[in-house]
Amino acid sequence: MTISISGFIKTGALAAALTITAAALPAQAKGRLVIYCSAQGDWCQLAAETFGKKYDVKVSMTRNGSGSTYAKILAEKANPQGDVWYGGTLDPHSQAGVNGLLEAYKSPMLKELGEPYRNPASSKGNHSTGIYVGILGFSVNTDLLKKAGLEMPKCWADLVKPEFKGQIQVASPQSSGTAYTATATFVQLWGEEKAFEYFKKLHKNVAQYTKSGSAPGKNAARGEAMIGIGFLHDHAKEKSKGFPLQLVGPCEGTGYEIGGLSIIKNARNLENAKKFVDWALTAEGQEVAAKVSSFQVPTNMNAAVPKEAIKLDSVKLINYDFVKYGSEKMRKHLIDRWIREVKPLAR
Amino acid sequence: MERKKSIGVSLRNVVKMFGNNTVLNGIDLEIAPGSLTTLLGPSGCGKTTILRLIAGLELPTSGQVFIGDEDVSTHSASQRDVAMVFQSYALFPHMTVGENVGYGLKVQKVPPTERAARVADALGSVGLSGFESRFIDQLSGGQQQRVAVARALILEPHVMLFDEPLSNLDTKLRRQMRDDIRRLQQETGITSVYVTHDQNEALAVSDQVVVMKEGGIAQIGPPESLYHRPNSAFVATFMGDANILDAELLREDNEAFVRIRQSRVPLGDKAAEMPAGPVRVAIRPEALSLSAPGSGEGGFTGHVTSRAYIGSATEYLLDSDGEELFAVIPAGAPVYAPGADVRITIDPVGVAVIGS
Amino acid sequence: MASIAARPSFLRDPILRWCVAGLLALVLLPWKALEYGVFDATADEFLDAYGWSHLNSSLFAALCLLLFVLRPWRGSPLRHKIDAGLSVFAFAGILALASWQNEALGWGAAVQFFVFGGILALALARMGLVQGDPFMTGAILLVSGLVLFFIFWPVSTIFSKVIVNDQGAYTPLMFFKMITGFGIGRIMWNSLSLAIVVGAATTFLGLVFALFAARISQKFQGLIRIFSILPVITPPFVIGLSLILIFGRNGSINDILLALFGDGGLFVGAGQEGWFERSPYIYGFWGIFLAQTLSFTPISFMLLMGMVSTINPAMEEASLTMRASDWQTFRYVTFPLLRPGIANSYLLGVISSLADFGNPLVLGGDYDVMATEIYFSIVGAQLDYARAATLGIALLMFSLTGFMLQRYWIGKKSYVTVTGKGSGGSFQRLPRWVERGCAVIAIIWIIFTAVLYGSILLGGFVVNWGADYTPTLAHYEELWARGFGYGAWPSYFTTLGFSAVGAPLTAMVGLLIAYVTTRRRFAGRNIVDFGAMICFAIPGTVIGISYILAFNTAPVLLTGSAAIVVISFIVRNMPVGIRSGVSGLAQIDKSLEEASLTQRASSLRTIFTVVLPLLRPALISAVVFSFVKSMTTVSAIIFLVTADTQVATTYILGRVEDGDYGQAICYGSVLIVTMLAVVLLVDRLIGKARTERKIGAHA
Repeated sequence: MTISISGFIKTGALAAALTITAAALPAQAKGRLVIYCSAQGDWCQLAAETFGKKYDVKVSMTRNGSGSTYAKILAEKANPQGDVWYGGTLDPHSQAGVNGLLEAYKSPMLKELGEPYRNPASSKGNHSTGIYVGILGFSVNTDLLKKAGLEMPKCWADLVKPEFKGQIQVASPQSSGTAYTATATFVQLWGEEKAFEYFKKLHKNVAQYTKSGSAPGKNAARGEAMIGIGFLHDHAKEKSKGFPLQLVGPCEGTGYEIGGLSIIKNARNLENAKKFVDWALTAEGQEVAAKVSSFQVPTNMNAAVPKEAIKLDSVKLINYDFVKYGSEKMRKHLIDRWIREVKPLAR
Repeated sequence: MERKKSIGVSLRNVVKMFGNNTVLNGIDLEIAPGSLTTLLGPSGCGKTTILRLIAGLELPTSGQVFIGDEDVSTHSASQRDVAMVFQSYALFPHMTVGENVGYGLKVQKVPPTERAARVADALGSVGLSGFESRFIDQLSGGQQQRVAVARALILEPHVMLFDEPLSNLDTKLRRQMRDDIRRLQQETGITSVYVTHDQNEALAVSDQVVVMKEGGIAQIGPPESLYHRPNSAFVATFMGDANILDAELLREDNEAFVRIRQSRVPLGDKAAEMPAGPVRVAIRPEALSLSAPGSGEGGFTGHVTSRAYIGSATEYLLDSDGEELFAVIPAGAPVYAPGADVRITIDPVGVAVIGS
Repeated sequence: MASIAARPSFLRDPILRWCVAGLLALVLLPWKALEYGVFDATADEFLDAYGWSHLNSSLFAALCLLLFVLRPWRGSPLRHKIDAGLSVFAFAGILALASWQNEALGWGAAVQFFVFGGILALALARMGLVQGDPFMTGAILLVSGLVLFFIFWPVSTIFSKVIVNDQGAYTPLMFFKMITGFGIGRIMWNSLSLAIVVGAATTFLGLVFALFAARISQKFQGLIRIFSILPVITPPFVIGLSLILIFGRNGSINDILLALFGDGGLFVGAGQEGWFERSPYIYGFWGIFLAQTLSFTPISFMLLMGMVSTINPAMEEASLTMRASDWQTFRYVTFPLLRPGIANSYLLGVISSLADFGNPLVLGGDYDVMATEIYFSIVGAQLDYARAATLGIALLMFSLTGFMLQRYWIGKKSYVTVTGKGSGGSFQRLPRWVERGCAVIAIIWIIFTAVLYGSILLGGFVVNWGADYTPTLAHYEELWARGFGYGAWPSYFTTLGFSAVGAPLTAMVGLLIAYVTTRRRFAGRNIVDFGAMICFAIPGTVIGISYILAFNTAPVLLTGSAAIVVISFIVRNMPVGIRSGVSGLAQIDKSLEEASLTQRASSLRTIFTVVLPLLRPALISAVVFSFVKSMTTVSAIIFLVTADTQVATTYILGRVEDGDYGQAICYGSVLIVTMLAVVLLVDRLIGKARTERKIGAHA
C-alpha cells in the first residue's frame, strides 16, 4: 500500500513543480530555430550565436557531418526536428532535394551571389543555395619534402611517381565526401577508365586511406604524411597555425565543392529558417567563416575573401557537373568500383 | 493482555505443482484451534510446502487454504496473520536483537515506547531479558533460536509456523528448546504447525501428528495412536523401528487376535473393522521380550544372530524360522550370547495391524 | 488489522489510488513530448503539449481511467480478469492511437503506462500470481517490460532493416545478399582474426600475471589494485592515442630510431644516408592488436587471478608426494585445473575485441573491423542502413555465440569449487623458468604501461607531441579556461550529470533483474534471462544503431533527447548492475526475506528494510562502476548525442577526428583523474563501512 501512496505523492510533487516551471517561463516572442550544421564546429557555433542575437531567436544547433545529417533528415522525414541545414558539401543537399526532403526557397539575397551558386543542386528547384566554394587539391609538408630531397609536386600526375611511395594520404571515398569529390574530379578530367588507372597507380603511394576528408591535411601538417589530398581551405587552416604546409592547386585542373544551405521540408520554424537563409547569404553572414579560420571562398560577391583562402582565379577549375556526379546512382557506381578495383589491391 | 481467540487452519483439496512436478496431490487437513500439529515425513514429502502454503510464501495451484473462516488462498504472506520460525532462524544480521524482535511491530507502526515494552516482554518469555542491543552474531545458536521464537510470538499471530526449528542445535539443547516451545505454545494457545523429520521431536511436542509421504498424507492422529496404531508399514517404520511380519487375524467371541507364529496376541479394538484372514502386522522392537527356551507359556522360538550393547538397552538381531527380528531389551534383563536359543514373547501393546 | 479499517473508505482500493495518480498526471503533465525538452520549453509549447488542450490519445487514457474509477464490474466474480484485460487494452490502445496519430508521447503518457502497469499488477496479484504479491508482480512486469522495450524491440528493428528495404518492400533475402556482398567478408574476417589473436594474447598475459601475482611475488599485490582499476577508468581512444604518441610516425620510438639509425644518426655517421625511415606501422592490424591487448589483459588477469588463487594447494602437494617434478605438477595438475578459466578468459578476450570501437577507430588505418564499419556505414558517405544493420546482426551473432559458449559450455566445466573450508598447506613453487619468464614479462609490461600513461599525462602539456615539445598550457586553457560555457566544460558537466542519473538507475534495475530472475519463478523468466544475456553480449555500436533505428519515430520519439543517452548508458552498463545484484543476492539467505514477509512487511518494505541494507556494499560498487563506465561509454551513444547532449567521450572523438590530439589527451587525462578520484573515494567509504560491521548471510 505504501507503493501507490508514495508514488502518488511523488507524481503530484513532480507535476506541481513542472506546472510552476511552465508558468514561470518567459514568453519568447521571436521563436526558435534548429540548425543542422555540417560546417566546422566553431563556425556553426558562431553563426548560430550571431544570428540568434541579431534576430532574438532561440537557436539550437546540432553539428554533424553532411552524410550523417542527411541520414538524420531522412530518418526524421515523418517528423522533422531540424529547420535549416547549414554547410557541408552540396551532394547530400542535392540528394535530399531530389528525394523531397527540402523546402524550395528563393532568397532575395540570391542576386548578390555568383551565378553558379544561386541554384546549384541537382533538383534545379531552388532547394539549396551555395554559401561557399572549396577547392580540391593537395598539400605538401615542406620539411619532410626537403628532408627526403624531393621536388615539389605540382600536378595530380606527380603524385603517382614512385618516390612518393607511402607518403600520401587521402580519405576513403567509402566514408568521405571529400574523397568522392576527388574521384568525380578525376573522372571528369580523364574519363572513367583513365581515372581508375590513375587511382590504381596512386594506390601504391597511399600510406593510408583516412575515414575523414580533413584528416589527410592535418596529418600532412603534423608530419604523419608528406602529402595530403583534400580541400585546400582545410589545409589553409592548418597552415595558418604555423605548420610547414604548401598548398597546391594541381596543374591539370581540379574540382571543387559548393557548401550547401537548405531549408528542411515541413520545418517547424519555417519563417525563422528563411530569415536565417537570408542572413547567411549576406556578406556579413558569410564573413563569419574567416573569423574562425575557415578559409572557404564566399559566394556572396560583396563578401571579403580571407587572405589565406586560395584565390579562385589562381587555380584551374574544371566545369564540375554537380547534377551528374551528385546523383545517387553515379555516386554508388563510382564508390562501388573503387571498392572493388582499387581498395583490395596490394600496396 | 487479552489473548486472541484461537482459530484453526484448514486445507481443502490443495494441489501444488512446481512446473510439471506435483509436490502436493490434493491435501485435506484440519488443524484444530489452539493445537500444535506436527508435519512429519522424509525430505521431499511436501511437509515444508504445506507450511509455506499456510504462511503464504507459496500459493496453491488449486484448492483452498482457510485460516479460521477466511479463505486466504490468494493472500500474500504479508496479508496473513501468521508468524514463522525458520530453520536458519532468518534473523536479520544488520539489526540488533531488539530490532529483530520488534520488526513486525515496527511494520505495524506500533509506537516506539509500546514496542520497547513488548519486545522486552517477548524476550523475557524466552529467557533473554536484556539482550535487546546485542547483535545477532554475538549470540549462541540456542540464543538465536530463542530470538527467532520471540520474534514470531510478539505479533500474537493466529497461527505460528515452525520449520524444523531445532535442526541446527545439539541434542541436549534441542530437548530443552523443544519443551520450551511446547510450554509457550500451551501458555499462549496459538494454533501452531511444526515441521520436522525427527519422530521423537514430533511425538514429544504434538497434539496431532500428520505423517506425510510423497505429497500425500499417510496418517493423521495423536502421537500415541500413531506410534501404537500405524496404518501402514511406512508409518510404522517412520515412527520408530518396527518388525513387519505376516500374520493371521482371528475373530472369536467379538474379540480380535492375531496369530504371529505360535503366538496369539489380543488386539483389543485395534482392528475393529478388519475381516478375519491373513494380515501384515508391525511389532515394535521393545514389545518383544526374550527368555530361556521352555521357560514359560506362549511365544515362539528363535536364536540370537547378533547383539549390540547400547547402554540403556541391548539390541538383538534374532532369527526365527528364517525371519529376521529386531528386539530392544531394557538393561537389567538376562543377556543372551549370539547363537543362543531363546523364547520370544510379544507384548500386545506394541503390535499393530497395518493391512491385509 | 485495525489499521486498515481506519482508512477512509474511498481510498481503500489501491486501484482507485492508481487512477487518481493517473488523472493527476493527465492534468498536470504534458501528454505529448516537448520537442525542445521539458526544461527548455516555452509556456505556449507547454500548454500545447497538455493532453486536455487537444483531442488525442489522452482522451482514450482518460476514459479508461474513468472506467476504472467507476468499476461497474466490481461485484462480478470476473472482476480481476476484467481489470487486467482493461489495463492491457488501455496500454495497447494508447500506443496504437498515438502511432496512428503520429504523436510523440511525453511524460504524461509515460505515467499512464506506469498507472496501467500498476493496475495490471494488482489485478494479476489478486488472481493469485506471484504469491499474490502486487509489488513483486509489478516488479516482474516492469522488468519484463523494460527488457522487451529497450532490448528486444530495438534489436528486432535491426533485423527488420534487412527484411524490409528503404522503399518499404519486403526483401527476405537481403541479409544474405548483403553478407555475401563484396567487402563484407573481408571486414568480418578482419574482426575475427583480430579477435582470435587478441584473445590468445590477453589470455596468455593474463595467466602470466596471475601466476606472478598469486605464486611468485607478493610485491605485486599493489599492482593488482591498479590492474583492476585501470581498464575501468581509461576512456576509449586514450590507449590508442598514447600508442600514436609512442609509436606513431612522429612518435617517440620513431624519433629514437631515427636519431640512432636514420640519416646522419648516431650509428650511421653525420651526413650519411641511414637505414631507417619513419614509418606509420602502428596503423592497422598490429596497432589495434597492441591497443586491445593493453586494454583487455587486465580483465583476463582478474578472471584468471580468481582461478589461480582458488586452486587447492593440496592437489599440487598430492602430485609432489607422488614424485612428480615441479614441471610435471604444473603441466599435469595446475594447468589442467586452470583450463576452464583459460577458455573463459579467451572467449572474453574475443568478445571484447569484437565489440571494441575506440581502438580501431583511432588506430585502424585501412584495417576495417565490424564495430567501426557499422559506424562508417551510417556517418560516412555511403549512408547505408542495411549495411550497418547487416554488420550489426553479424557482430551480435558472433558475440552472442561467444557468450553462450562461455556461459553454457565452459560455465559447466569449471573445476574450482569454493568449499569455504580453509585448505591447509601452502602453494608450491612453480618451475624455475616459468617463474623467471613471468617476472620478465610482468616487468616489461609494467614499464610499458607506465610509459603509456605517462605519455598521456605529459602529452597534454606540450605544443605538439612529435613536432614541437615546447611545454605549454594552451591545450588546457583551450579546454578549461574559457569559462563554463566553452571548451570541455559543457560536455564534462553533461557527462557527470548523465552518469549520475544513470548509475543509480542502472544499479536499481540491475538489482531488480537479478532479484526476479534468481528469486522468483514466473512465466517469461526465460525471456528476461535471455534479455539480460543480450545485455552482456551486445556490442556498443549495435546498441547505438538499434536505438537510432527504434526510437526515431512517434509514438516513442526519443532521438535527440537526453533520455535516450541516459537509457543507453543504463542498458550498456546493465551487466555491471546485474552481476553485482546476483552476487550480492547469493549471499543473502532467502529465508531472511520470508521472515520479513511473515512479519507482515510488504515485499516493497522487505526490499527496503532487509534486502537493500544487506546489499549495500554490492549496491554502492554497482553505482560507482556504472557511473565510471558511463563516463567512458562511446560506441553505444555515438549515434545518439546531439550538440546539447554532447558527452566527454564524443567530444574527445571530435577532437581526435579534427586531429587535435593535444586536446584529446588533455581531456582524457582529466577524465582519468576524475574517475580515479571517484573510485578511490568510494572505495574508502565502502572499506570503512565494511570494517564497521561484518555482514554475513547467516548470523
